[in-house]
Amino acid sequence: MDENLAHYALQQSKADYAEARMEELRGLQAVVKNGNLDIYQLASQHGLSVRVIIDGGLGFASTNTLDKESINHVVEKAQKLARASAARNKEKIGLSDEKMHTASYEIPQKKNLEDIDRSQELLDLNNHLQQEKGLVFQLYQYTDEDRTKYYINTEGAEIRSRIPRIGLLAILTVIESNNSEQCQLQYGGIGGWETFQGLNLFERLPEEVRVLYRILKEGVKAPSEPVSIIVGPEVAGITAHESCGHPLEADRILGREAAQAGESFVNPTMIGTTIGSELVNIAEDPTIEGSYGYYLYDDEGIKARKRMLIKEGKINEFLSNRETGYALNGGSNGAARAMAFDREPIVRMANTYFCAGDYTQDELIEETKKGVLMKSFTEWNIDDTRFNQRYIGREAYLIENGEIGPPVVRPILEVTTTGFYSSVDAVADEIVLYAGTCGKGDPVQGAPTSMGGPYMRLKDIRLGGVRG
Amino acid sequence: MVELSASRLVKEASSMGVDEAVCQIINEKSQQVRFSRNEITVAKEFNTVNADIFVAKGNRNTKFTLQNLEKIEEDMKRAVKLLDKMQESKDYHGIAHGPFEYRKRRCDMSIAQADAVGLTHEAIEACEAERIAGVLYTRYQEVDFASTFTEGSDERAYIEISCRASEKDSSGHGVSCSATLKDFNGVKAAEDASDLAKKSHNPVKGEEGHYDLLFTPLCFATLMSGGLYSVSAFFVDSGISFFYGKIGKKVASEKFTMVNDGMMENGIFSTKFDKEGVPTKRTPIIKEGVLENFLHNTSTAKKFGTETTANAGLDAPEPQNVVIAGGGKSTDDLVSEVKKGLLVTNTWYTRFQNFMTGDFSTIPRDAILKIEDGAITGAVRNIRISDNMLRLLENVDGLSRDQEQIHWWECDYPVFSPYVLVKDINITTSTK
Repeated sequence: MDENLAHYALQQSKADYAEARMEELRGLQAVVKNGNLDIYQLASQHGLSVRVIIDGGLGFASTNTLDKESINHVVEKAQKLARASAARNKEKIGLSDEKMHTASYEIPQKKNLEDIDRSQELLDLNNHLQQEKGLVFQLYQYTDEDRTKYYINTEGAEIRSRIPRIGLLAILTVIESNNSEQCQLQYGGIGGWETFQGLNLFERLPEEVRVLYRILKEGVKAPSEPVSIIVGPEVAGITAHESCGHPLEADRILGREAAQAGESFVNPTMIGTTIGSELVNIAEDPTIEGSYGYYLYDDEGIKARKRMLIKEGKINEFLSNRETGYALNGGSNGAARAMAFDREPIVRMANTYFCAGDYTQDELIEETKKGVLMKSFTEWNIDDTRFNQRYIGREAYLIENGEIGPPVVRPILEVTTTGFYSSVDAVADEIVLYAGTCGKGDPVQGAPTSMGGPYMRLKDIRLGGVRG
Repeated sequence: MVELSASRLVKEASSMGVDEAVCQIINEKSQQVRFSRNEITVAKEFNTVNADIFVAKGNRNTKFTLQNLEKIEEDMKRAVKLLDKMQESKDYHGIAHGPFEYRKRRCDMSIAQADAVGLTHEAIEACEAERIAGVLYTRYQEVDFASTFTEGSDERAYIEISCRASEKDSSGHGVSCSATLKDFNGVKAAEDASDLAKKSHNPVKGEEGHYDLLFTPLCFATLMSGGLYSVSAFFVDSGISFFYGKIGKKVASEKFTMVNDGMMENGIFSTKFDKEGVPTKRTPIIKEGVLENFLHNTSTAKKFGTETTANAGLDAPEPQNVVIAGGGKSTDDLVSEVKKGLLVTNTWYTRFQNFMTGDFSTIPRDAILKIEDGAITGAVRNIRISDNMLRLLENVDGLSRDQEQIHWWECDYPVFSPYVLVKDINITTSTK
C-alpha cells in the first residue's frame, strides 16, 4: 500500500477538515453445497476514500484507481459535494473535539490462511456430517479476508491496522416423516486458520443436527400460560444487540438512519432512564481479544474503549462517532466503523453482551418450577424503533420442577424491550460470545460483530405470541 | 492506469490453458445523497473499476473479483494455477456457448450528470410532514464483457430516491425508481410519504387476530423481495426455498402471476445479457398460481433438466426485474372489498423460521391503516405479520390494475407490484 497517496490526498484538500482512508484486502469465499464445491471466489481489492467538511457540509468520494489524477478527482469531488450540501442546509455538521493518536496494530496468523486447502476442509466437514440422521441438505459459506487499513486526518491522527478475519455460515436441513427443521449457524473470529480450528465445528455441527432431529421426533408444544423463560447466551446476545445496542446508536437516535435501518425508541434525553431490572447490565467492547468485532482504534482514529450501555437497568451511554458526538455535545466513544474503503464511517456496534450475574446455570434451572429453556434461536426480527421483538427458539426444552424435560418446538418469545429487560430476575455467571454480521448503513455495510451474555431467567412470560 | 479489455483478459486466460473464461469489467460512477431531518447529511461519489473473472478447466472452476487492477496478471496466474489442484465441481456444466446477438438498449446518459444534491433538495422541499429522511442515488455503469464464446458491451443507468416522512406519531414511505431522468419524480415520492404520514396520525396499538391485508405496491414488493431467493435454482438445490419440489404445482392463487423480465425498458436492473453473456429475456415464474420456472444459469439448468433463463450469476442465478401482473381492480375497489382488514404500506425484517416450509414473520412499518366495512377508519401500530409464505400466496384475492416499480434499502431487487389484497392473514403482537 502506497501510504504517500493518502498524504497526497490531504495535501490537495482545501477543506476545513479532511481525512483519507486506504484499504487493501485479499480474501476467499468458498461455498460447499451438499458435498460439492460450488463456488470458489478470490477477492483482491484496494482503494482510497476522502471525507471532508466545508462550511458544515459533509462530502465523501472514493476510487480504486490509485494514481494522482484519480485522487485529485475524488478530493475535488468530495469538496464540491460538501459545498453543495452546505449551501442547502440550515444546520452545520461538525465533529467533536477528540484526542488524536498515532498507532499501529496487527493480528497475526499463526497458521497462514493461504497455506490451507480451505475448500477441502469444508468438504471434510460436509462429509463428517453426512451420516447424521435426517440430514438432507448442507450448505456452507466460508469467507476469509486479510484487511490492511491506513487512516490519516488533518488533525494529526495516523492509524495503521491489519486484521485477518474468518467466518462460516452453515445452513442445515433435517427432514423426518415429511416434516423439516432448519438451522442457520454463524461462526467467526480473527486470526489465521488456527481460529477456524478453534471453533470445533466437527463436534458442534453434528450436535446441532441431532438437536433438530430430536425436535422432529420428540418435540412438544410450548406451555400456553405465563412461565419462566431461561434464555441461553445466544438468545441473550441477539437481544443485547437488537434491542439495546441498536437503539442506543446515536445516529439512529438523531434520525440519520430513519429511512433505512430505522430510528430508536430512545431519545437524547433518556440517559438515566430505567428500562429494565437492576440485574440488567449491558456492555459494548471492541477491545476484547480474539473477538469477531475487534478493533483498537475506530475509523475516525479514536481509541476504542469499553462502553456500559445499560447499568443496573438504566440507560448509561449511547454509542457515538464524532459527528453524533458533536451533535449531542457528548463526544465520541470510538464507535465509528467503515466496512470498506468506499464506505463512510458510521456508528456501529462491535461486541455487545449482557454482563454476568452471580447464579450458576444449574441454579437457574433448579429453581424453576415450570418454564422453558431457550438455548438458541431461529427466526428473529424487531421493529424499526427497536421496541417490539421476537425470537423463536431453535434448541429449547421444557423445565418442570427444576428438571430439563423434552424439546419444545419453536417457542415464540414475542415481547417489548422493556417487557424483556424488566422481566430479568436472575443472571448466571458465565458469558459466551457468538459471531454475527450486523447490517446497517446505505449502501449496507455488513459489520462483523459478536454478541452474547450468560444464561438469564425471565419471569412470567407468555410464549407463542398472541395468536389469532 | 492499466488499460483493461475483457476480450484481452479472456484470451490471456485461454493462453494459460483454461477451457472456459468469462470476464466482465464494470466501470461505475455513482452518486449518493443522504438526508435526514430535512437536511442533507452527506453527499458522495463512488468511482470503481471492477473486473470479475471466471476461469474453468474441466469441472474445476474459480472466480475472482479484482479492484486492484495492477495485480491483474499476477492474480490471473494465481487463479489458473489453483485450478489444477482444486476439487472438481460435479454441478458445473460449463457456460453458455453462443455466439449471441444482443439487442440495442437505450441508456439515459443524463442520469450520470444529474444534479443529485439539487434533486434531493427539491424532494426535501416537497415534504409537507414535519421531517423527511432518505437517500437519492444516481448510478451509471459501462460494462465490457467477453467469454470464450461471445463478446458484448452494455451501458446501464438509473436514478432512485427512497424517502420516509415523519410526524410526531406517524410516518410514511415513498420511492421513485427510473431508468430515465424524465420519468424520475422525487417530489412525488416525498409527497406520497408525507401523505401517508398525515393519514396515520394517532395510531392505536394493533390487536392480534386474522385480518384481510391490503398491501401497497411498496409493501408487497418489499415482502416478495425477502423471499426471492426461493426462485433461484441454486437455493432450491440447497433446500432454501419454499418452492422446493413444486414445479408444475399450484403454489399461489390463480389470480397471481409473477415473471422475471431482464429486458424491460424501464426496469432499473435491465441488462442486455446475463453474466454468462446470454441475452436476457422474460421468464414466467408463477403463472395463474402454478409454479412454472425457477431462474437458471447454464449449470443449474443442466442439473434441473431445462434451459438457462439468462439469470446467471455464475454461482447463484438471480432475478433482474420481477413483475407481478396487475389485476382488474382499482385501489378503491380493493378497499371496498375489505370487511375487517388493514392497509399495510411498508414492511421490513422479513425472516424465516424454515426456508423450506415458508414459515415467516415480517414487521409492518410506517402507516398501517385500519379498514372496516370497506372504509379506512384509523391507524394502528406495533403489529407483526406471522404466517406462511405459501399460504399468503394462496390467499391472494385481488390485485390492482397498475404496478409501481419498487427498489429501496429493504427491497434488493426491483419489483413491479400492484396493490395486492390477501385474505385471512395472522397478526401477532408482543405479549409483555
